[in-house]
Amino acid sequence: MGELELTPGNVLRRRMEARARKYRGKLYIAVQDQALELDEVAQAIFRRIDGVSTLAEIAAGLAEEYGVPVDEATDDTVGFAAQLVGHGVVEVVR
Amino acid sequence: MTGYGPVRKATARRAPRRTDATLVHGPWERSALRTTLLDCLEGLESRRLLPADHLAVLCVGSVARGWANDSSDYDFNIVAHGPWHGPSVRTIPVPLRPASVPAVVEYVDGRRWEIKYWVDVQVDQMLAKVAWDRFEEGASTARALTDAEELFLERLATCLTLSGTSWVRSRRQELGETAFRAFVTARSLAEADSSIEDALGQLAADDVDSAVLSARKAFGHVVDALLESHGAYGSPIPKWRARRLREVRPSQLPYQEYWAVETMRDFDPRAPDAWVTRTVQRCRDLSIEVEIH
Repeated sequence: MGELELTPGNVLRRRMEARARKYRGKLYIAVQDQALELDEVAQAIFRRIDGVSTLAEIAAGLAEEYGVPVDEATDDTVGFAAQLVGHGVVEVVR
Repeated sequence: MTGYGPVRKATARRAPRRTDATLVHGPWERSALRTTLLDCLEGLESRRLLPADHLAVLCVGSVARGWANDSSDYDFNIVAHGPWHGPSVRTIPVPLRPASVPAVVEYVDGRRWEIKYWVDVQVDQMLAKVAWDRFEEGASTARALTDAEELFLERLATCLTLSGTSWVRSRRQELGETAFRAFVTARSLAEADSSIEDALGQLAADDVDSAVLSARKAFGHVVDALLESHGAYGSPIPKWRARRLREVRPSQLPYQEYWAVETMRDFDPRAPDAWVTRTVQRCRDLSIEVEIH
């Protein structure tokens, strides 16, 4: 599935069609018959996607929570967000 | 058989005198209900409604939860080795062997008593239906239990034991080792998903009123799932949802917020679609927080 080019300034929101299940520490997100299994960091990003925060703001929160450099957190966040968009789990607001 | 009106007293077998009535924990213990419920056991015996081979007599429902009012029924589940052979006012079909649960209705001092007669092997079968291996196999996507079966198991967890303390203790332990909680939580989440899909589809088709009803239904299911994940069962009887939420006080959903949505406090008839969208989004947010375990 092709990945969208996103920038740290993008704002995303979770699609209402995306179903969630939290089971044994893992979060599973499904759209139609395709499911993604999110690990802890992926969950932290996914939960912060709220239709208001930019990816840069999400990355800053992630950097603080996990004690990693902001640049690294930003790369991770933007990359993962692009995957989520590609899977139809989230959509770009702006 | 209407389920109403006086019922002929059972004459099947003479119940033995039992003196081992033990009431166990619950908010009722400090209330006058204690005496009343002990009287109920004697009342069941004197009306010959207690089979000689009974293993446990459970007071269930609103009385057991401490939520009863003056007009509430008294509901009892009696579990015995063998099937009830006395007269019954109705029979509840269940996908078990034996395939039915007889129920008797009595009016005692103006209060309605409903007594359901279960067989011990039926309990074995219900517990087997919600085993962890069945959940892991993917049976969670289907309803594992009928409403009658689910109510029996959830009430096993919350009943007042009038007789058969050791049976109840043992069965509660078995229940705790099953995937019952996971099954009912996953079921409520699936129903929430289904209602959300309805709401979104109806909204897309400009059937806004229907979408409002579907969103409201979805919210109920996701709150049920949240409560069930905390072990507060009872979604087949939604009238107690607010009570259950008050007891559990889940951090993910403060009572005030729950009540505002349940009562549609911020619903604007000029913009019903906005309420649908907000409610569906809140359902999705909550479903992320519901742990299936």
